[in-house]
Amino acid sequence: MAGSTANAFQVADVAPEPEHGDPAAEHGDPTAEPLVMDELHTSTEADGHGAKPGLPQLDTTTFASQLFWLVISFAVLYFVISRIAAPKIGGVIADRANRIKTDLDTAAQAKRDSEAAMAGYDKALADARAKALKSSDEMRNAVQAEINAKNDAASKQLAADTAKAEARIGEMRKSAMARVGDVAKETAAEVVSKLTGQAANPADLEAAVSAALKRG
Amino acid sequence: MAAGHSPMEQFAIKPLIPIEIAGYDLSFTNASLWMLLAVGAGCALLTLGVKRDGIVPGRTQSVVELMYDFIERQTVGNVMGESGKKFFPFIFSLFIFIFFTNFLGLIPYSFTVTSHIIVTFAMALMVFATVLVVGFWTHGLHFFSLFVPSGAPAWIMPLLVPIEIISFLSRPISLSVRLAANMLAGHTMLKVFAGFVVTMLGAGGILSVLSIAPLIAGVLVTALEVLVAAIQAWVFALLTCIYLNEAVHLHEH
Repeated sequence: MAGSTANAFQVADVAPEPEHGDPAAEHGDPTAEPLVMDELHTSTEADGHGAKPGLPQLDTTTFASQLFWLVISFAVLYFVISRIAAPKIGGVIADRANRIKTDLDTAAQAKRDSEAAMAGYDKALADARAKALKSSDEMRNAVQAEINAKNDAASKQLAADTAKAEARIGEMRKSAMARVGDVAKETAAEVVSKLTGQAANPADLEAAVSAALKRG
Repeated sequence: MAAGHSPMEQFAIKPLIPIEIAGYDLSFTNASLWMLLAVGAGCALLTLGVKRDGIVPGRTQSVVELMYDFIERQTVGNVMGESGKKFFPFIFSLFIFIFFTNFLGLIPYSFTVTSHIIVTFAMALMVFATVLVVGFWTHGLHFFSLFVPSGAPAWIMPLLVPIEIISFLSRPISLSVRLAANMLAGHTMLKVFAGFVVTMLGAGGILSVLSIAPLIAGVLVTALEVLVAAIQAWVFALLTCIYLNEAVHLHEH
């Protein structure tokens, strides 16, 4: 069984290669492969294990080599990952996270700033509006007050002028009325002298005129 | 079926450069090659794919940051909180190593490092050792209280404590077998379906026509394996987190 397997291995390994048409593709030397195979089989047979028909996994003669190369390759991988790759990748990811955080913070700050500016603008607008309203009110009030004052002064002046004029009219009427008796007496004396041909008694005249004046 | 088409052949370890040190066969094999390729691919993606001033990430950087965030925040941070920070490089290394070995293993004619139980078991033991060191470093002998479930009545302890100890000790086994078995089963299944396609095509007649069926199945299994490759890497990282979290916080979650 063992010998036939070994033969079959060799036949299978050597024979199909030229048929596939890539004899030199593997290692450049098509004769190297069967030589290695021969060495393997002779060495395993010499070790007394024989060519194992079972699982290659259970061939303990290969364990030392596998462990040796596993330790070497894993050590290299661990060194590269722990010293170079992991810090580098972690750094890049952390950098990105920081960058995003900073950018977000900056954006939030800018938003707050713009909101503050907006609020300031609104306040300034409201202030200006209030101020304008106030100053227009003040202006209106001042103008109104001035108008009122001028009106008052004018009406006072008018009233004073009116009173003065009325006083003068009153005086004139009084003096006129005072002179009405004299005029009536003279007129009556004239009329009497013309009618009667003789001068009227001044006392009678006096009495008659004042009585007539009293009747009004 | 010829032995050359054995679904197990893909898991064979072939020395490329024979090396022997102190009687140990430390040959550079196809397994070693794909380990180094996975580590190289992982390192290249994680270092060259990221620009220092990459405030706006490109496509590659987005992938890297997605992986980083997935493990750093959503896995380690989620399970362990602040205490997980110092374990993150270790857990991320485990994730990247398994992720890349799983995915490179899906390339036809490549080799799946994680399909070998010795590799996954070694990683599980690393996790187990870390848990022990962290546990005893943080809590001293009080770490043994991990095996005493809080709130259980005293008379049931003789039963519970051994169960807890066995469950604790079986963790590296379950952790490693889960990953290796998934890879082994998936790749075997792929190879079996692919073998069916070739065999049926070669048989001629109606079988050649019917060979479309295993082909479709193979495509679907490949899609499933892509999923499994990522999920198993994450499961390994997640369980590591859970175990480490227990070592740091004991029961007081």
